[in-house]
Parts: sequence; C-alpha cells; structure tokens
Amino acid sequence: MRPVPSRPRSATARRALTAATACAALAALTACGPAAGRAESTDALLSVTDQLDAAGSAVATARLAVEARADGHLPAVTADAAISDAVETASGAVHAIGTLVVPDSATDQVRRAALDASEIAVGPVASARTWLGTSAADAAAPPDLLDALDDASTAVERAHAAVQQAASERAAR
Amino acid sequence: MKRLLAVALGILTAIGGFLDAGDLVTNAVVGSRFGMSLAWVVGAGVIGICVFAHMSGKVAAVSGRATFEIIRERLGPRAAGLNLAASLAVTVLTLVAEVGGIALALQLASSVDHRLWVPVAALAVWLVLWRVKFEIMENVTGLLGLALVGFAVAVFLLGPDWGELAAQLAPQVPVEEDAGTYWYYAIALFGAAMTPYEVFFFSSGGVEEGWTAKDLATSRLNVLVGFPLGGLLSVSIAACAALVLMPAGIQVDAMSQLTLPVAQAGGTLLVAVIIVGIVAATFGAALETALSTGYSLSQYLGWSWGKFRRPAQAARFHLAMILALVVAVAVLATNVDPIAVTEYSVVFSAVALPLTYLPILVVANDPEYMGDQVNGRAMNAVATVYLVIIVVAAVAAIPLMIATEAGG
Repeated sequence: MRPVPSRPRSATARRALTAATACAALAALTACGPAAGRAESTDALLSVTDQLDAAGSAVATARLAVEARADGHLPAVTADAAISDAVETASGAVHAIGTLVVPDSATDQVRRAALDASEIAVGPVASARTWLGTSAADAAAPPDLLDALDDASTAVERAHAAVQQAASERAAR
Repeated sequence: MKRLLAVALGILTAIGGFLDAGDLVTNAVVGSRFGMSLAWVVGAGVIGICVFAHMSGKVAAVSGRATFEIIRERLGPRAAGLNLAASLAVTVLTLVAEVGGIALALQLASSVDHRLWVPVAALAVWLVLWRVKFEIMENVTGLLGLALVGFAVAVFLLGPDWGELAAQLAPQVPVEEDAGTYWYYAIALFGAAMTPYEVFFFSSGGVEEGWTAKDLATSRLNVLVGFPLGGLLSVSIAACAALVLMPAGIQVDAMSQLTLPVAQAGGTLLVAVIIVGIVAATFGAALETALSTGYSLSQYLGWSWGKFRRPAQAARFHLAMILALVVAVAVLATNVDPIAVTEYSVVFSAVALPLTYLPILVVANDPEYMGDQVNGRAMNAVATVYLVIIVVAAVAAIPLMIATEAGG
C-alpha cells in the first residue's frame, strides 16, 4: 500500500488547529469583555461596602466612647483619642468612596447613594469630639448627639444593604 | 528562697514580656471580626514559640554562645546571610511597629497626636539601651507589662455567657467572612506569636545573663509557664473585642479601640492600668527588637556585642541599634499608619519563619556544640511538625495577602 504523505496532512491539521485556536481566542476575548465589566462593577461595589463597614464602625466607636465618657468610665484624653481616630476613619471612608472609579452609570448611582450615607456619618462623629471638648462632657451624653449617631448608623446600614443587593444582582447576571 | 524568687521573677517577666504591638493589634482585630474562632491559632503559636525559644535558650546555655554566631559557623556565611537578611528585615519592620505602638499608647494617655510622640519614644528607647543594665531593663518592662492582665480582668467583669464564649472557640469561618480572610488572619496570628526576633533575643539574652547548663531548668520554666500564660493574655484581648466590639459592629483599626471594652468593664482605673501595660509591652518589645537588630548583625559579622560591655567596647553593636531606630523614626515620619505597619509586620514574620527556625533546629542537633544536650526524639518530632506548619504558613502568606487585599 502506498504510504500517505504525512506533510500535507500535517499542514492541513496545523491550519485547522490555527483556525480553531484563533476562533477560541476570539470567542474568549468576546466573552471576557462583559465578564470583565461585571467583575469590575462587582469589585467596585464590594469596595464600597468595605468603606461603609468602616464608616459604620467609626460611628459605633464614637457612640461607645461617648457613652463610656458620659458614664465616667473613660478618661477624657482616651475618649478624645478614640473619637479622633473614628473621625479619621469616617473621613477616610468618604474620601475612598468619593474617589472610587466605577465602570458604569448604574454602579455610579449606587456609589453616590453610599457617598451620601458616609458623609452623613462624619458629622455626628465630629460632633462627638466637639461635645467632648466642652465642659458639659462630664455630664450625661446629650440625647440629640446620641440620636444623631443612631441616625447616622441607620443611614450607613441602609446604604450598605442597598449596595450589597446591587452587588449580588450584578454577580448573578 | 532567693532561687525561688529568681524563678518567679523570670516567669512574671516572660508573661509580661510576651505581648507586643503585633499581638495587641492582631488579637483585637481578630476578636472583633472572628470572635474566638481563631483562638486555637494562639495556642498553636504559643506551643511553637515554646519549642524554639527553649531550643535556642538551650543552645546559648550549653555552648555559652548566641544562636546566630553558631548558625554562621555551622551553616556557612551564605545560608546564615539568608537567615540574617530575612530576620533583620522583619525585625526592623517590627521595630517600626513597636515604636509606633509606644507613640499610639502615649496618645491614649495624653491626647497628643502619636506623630509627635514618635521621636520622643525612639529617644527614650535609645537612652534605655545606652544606659540601663540588661536585667533591669528586662525585668522592669516585663513586670510593668503584667498590667495587661487587666484585659483578663475585663473579660471577667464583663460577665459573659461563658458557654457561648466557649462555643465560639470552635474553628469556623463566620458567615460574613470568607475562608481566605480567615486563613490570612490565622497566619497573621501565628506570625505574631512566633516573631523571629523573640528567639534571637532569648538566646542572646541567655549569653548576656551568663546562663550555663545549670540554668536550663530555670530557662525551661520561664518558657513553659511564662509564655503560655502570656498567650492567655493574647486570648483575653480577643475575648474583650469579641464581647464588646464585635456585637457593636466595630472593626478594630486603631489602638484606642482596645480601651473601649476595658472602660465598659472596669472604668477609668482599669483603662489607666491597661495603658500602662500597653506602653510597657510596646516599649519592652521595642527594646528587644532594637537589641535583636544589633545582636544578629554583630553576631553574623563577628563584631563585639552585648549590653554587658560598655558602649565604647561594642561600638558597632550600639551603632546598629541607633541606625535601626533612625530607620524606624524615618518610616513613621512618612505618616504611615503604625497599625497597618504592625499588621504587615506579623504577616512578613510568618514569611521569614522557616529561614529563622530551621537553622536553630540544625544547631540544636549538632553534638559538636550541644554535647549530650542535643535534642531528644520527642523534641525533634514536635519541631519537625512545626517546621512543616511554618513552611505552609510562609508559602501561603503572600498569596493570601494579595487575594484578600491584606484581609480587607
């Protein structure tokens, strides 16, 4: 039997393989575009939730410090250090959310809502430090300050829940 | 009686000196995020440090020489150089964290910004290194560090549901955290408990204090009783955070947050005690890390070293410590967050662990140095198991740091 020349068959196979590889690469690239977009969007939202966690933690720290100081359980200087750190954390969260680059307008809308909530958190935390600096700091904590801290906490929690929902919707798509 | 007092003092200083900025911060962070579910890592780390600290103490007591000198002689300059590079880098990073820790602790007592305290803290560390005798330095910081027992007192005063707290001890990943972050913090805690500088300080300290084979029993007692009790203090910091900060949704990112559970439990007096403890613990660790820098460099390069010599007789040893302190101040002057430095330092400690502990195991098995005091089979078996754990932790540390964005 005459042997089949191997070179032409190998060349055909190579051509087919090259074409298949090119098609696969093209398909992968086409698929990766939207997938990368989704990943970016989800990552951005996860970064926002991290920052909202930090803002919420700062509000809770300030509340605990105010209560402890008002009860006479925490020295004024230590309470000041704790609330000063909380102010820094809350402001840092606002800065981080405010400067986050997001891939699309839908994500940007969620980011803006989170930014509003984190900005709301900074005010009461800073007010707690102001209260600490006044002579009334030895007396009971003013209810309006505690209410403002609670409101800030609620606003951050709501924003957190909204961002988490948006993130899970993106991830599911 | 005098001997008993010396043993008691050794144990107390080992307890008080066990904790440093890395332990304080990492335990609080872990307690506020994972409750008590990572307490088992502290236990594992304490056993590990007991094994290797005892081994390096034994090397010093039997041979009368510090571990690093022997490592260079036994393994040659290249292998010892690798060990030196890894441990020196981590020790200087730890020194940065400790000086930052002193500054943060002083801020808690004064409300003056920690950045202003950094040069003061570094100057105080240098003055003590320059002027104060080794034993006084070690005993005073160790005994004052015992004030951190306040965290254990706070746990009792908070009156927790002990059953619930004990249930948290089971290793499990909390619902709101992922497995990668859990293991990242497990490695951080392990690195915090087994920081490389501790063993070099322990063996060099043995030489400073003139240990001989007769002191082995005392050294063993210090390690086997003092370190586990120090570990209990670590766990009580995590418990304080788990009881007060975690339910309030507070994630620890500042040293000041450590005082909040204590304030709730014991009021201003207990807070004051804790602040004294934090200053002493970080100050003591800053002294130890600065000394470790001088010890390891001098022992590798064959310079004259030791606090038992006057500074003029060990000039390069003292210069190395001064330079390390200058580096620490310079790094902190960049406005870097000392807490972040501390968190990174414990993870990089984990990375450097194999390079530190493998040579100690090799030397401890060499009859030329150890005579009939070479490691027994049981000790070698435990040490080998730990080396495997250490290698796994070292290999996994950096990938986990990247994957979890440093536990973010």
